[in-house]
Amino acid sequence: MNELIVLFGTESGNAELVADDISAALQEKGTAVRVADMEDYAVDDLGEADMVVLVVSTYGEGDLPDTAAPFHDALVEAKPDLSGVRFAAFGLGDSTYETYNLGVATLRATFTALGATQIGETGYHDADSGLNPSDVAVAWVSTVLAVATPS
Amino acid sequence: MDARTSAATVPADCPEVTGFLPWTDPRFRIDPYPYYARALAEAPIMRDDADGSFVLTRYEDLMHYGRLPSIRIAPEWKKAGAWRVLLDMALGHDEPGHTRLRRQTSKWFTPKRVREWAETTAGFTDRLLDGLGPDGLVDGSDLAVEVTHRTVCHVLDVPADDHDGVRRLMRQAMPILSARPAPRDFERAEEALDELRRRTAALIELKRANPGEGLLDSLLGAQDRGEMSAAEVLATTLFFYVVGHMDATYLICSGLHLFTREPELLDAFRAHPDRHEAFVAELARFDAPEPVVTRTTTEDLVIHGVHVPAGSSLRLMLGAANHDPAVFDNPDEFDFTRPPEQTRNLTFSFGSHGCQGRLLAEAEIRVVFERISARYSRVELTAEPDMRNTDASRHYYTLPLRLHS
Repeated sequence: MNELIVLFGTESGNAELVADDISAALQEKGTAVRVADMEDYAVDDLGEADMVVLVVSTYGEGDLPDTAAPFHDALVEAKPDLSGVRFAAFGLGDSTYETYNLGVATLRATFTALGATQIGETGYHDADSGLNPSDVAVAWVSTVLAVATPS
Repeated sequence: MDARTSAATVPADCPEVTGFLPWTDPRFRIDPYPYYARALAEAPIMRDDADGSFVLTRYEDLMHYGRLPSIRIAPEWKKAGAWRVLLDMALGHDEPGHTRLRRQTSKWFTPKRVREWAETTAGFTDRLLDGLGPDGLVDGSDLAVEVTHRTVCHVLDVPADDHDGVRRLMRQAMPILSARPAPRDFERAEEALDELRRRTAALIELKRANPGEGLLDSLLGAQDRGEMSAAEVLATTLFFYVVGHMDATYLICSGLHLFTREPELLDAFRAHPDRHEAFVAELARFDAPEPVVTRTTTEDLVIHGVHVPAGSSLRLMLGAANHDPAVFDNPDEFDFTRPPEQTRNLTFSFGSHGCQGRLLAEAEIRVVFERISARYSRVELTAEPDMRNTDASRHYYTLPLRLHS
């Protein structure tokens, strides 16, 4: 692979931390990774990476968090052709809410509708589990990448 | 709401709260946990005849009823005397104002930023410990107030020159939040908040004259762009400035006090760096500095068979829920090796109004224990601490310690 982009959308900064930790774990294995906040990322650039890893939480009544909402609006508005894009998706949520991980579901549906191909299963961190989100995410990304790059 | 009306509409299986939680009893204020245990077991919902409010203690009930979209926070702050100043910041607002205001400060308390702030806390702690005499005598409360107040002032980028004055004013302003505030508590809170408002206004004036790169600069930038009003900037600044030291100090004192009673815990803390975060989480669960939050209902509810009319106040007992045996094994024991599913606590509140400074407070507490455990072998209590608690707010006035090298 050339380059992998980890794109995070966050309210409180937890998804940012998880994105950084995913990136650090992959770099240790020799994968070239770039981390970007969805807030600072132009949707037209999505075709540039070999693969996009989306890391996003849920806010309020199942909405996208602060830095993901404008990115999602831009996708819906501009409707870029993502048929060349492969992506993986990881959600941070809390299963004691009925809106558990609706944020990542929204983003995934939009990516798929624009032609992108999802690799592997969607990963989830449940705040109610008491587990460390980065530990869960790093374990998840290695199984996804095993699917993405069959030896 | 009229208390007599509510008493008439609830059936007999909703006991009066003071039979379980005697708000003003000194024994309850020092150690509420045996009282919470009985309420958790026998009275899942109680009514307060004095003001018509309803009281909930169980973890599951707090998480459910406390997060209903129909539950409001603003009406409670309108009733809180001088604390109505919070109606101008995120904690006093329901949606959509809440999110608009909260997003003005959220970037300052992310896990990444908190790593940075924690380094400054470590520096402040070391400087204070360097200044101790050879006898190792120190007041734990003084130490905790100074390092946490300095840290939050660093985040705001304002001078941190009077931590003791801010502490004194907060001690004067907090008793009003009790279920049974005394009439003079209202006056004393007004007096304290007037002074804190004056001090905050002076900080803002100073900041306008000497711009920097702190949280207060960011708020003033938002005001200049028309995203916040001057009143919102004042209330938000005041809030972070005055609460920065308070509950973090209580938890630091609570931990240092615990180290004096169970010295092996200090050794265990030192020996297990990977458990430091779990240790702080357990400390927060074990004894919440502010054990209650209140909300107002806007629809009729039936809770455990009891009709709770729209417009009622709910007192949600965070401190009790943290000791709910349905969630925590041996809830009254301090155990930092609990399994992950038993590490949640409601001390920093929950839902959309969860404490924005939570990560910062947790990091400060951890860092103070790390610096002390690295430099000293033992923490000794040299006199009984002076604790002044209400049912809603717990404070160490003194915690006289000797740190042994």
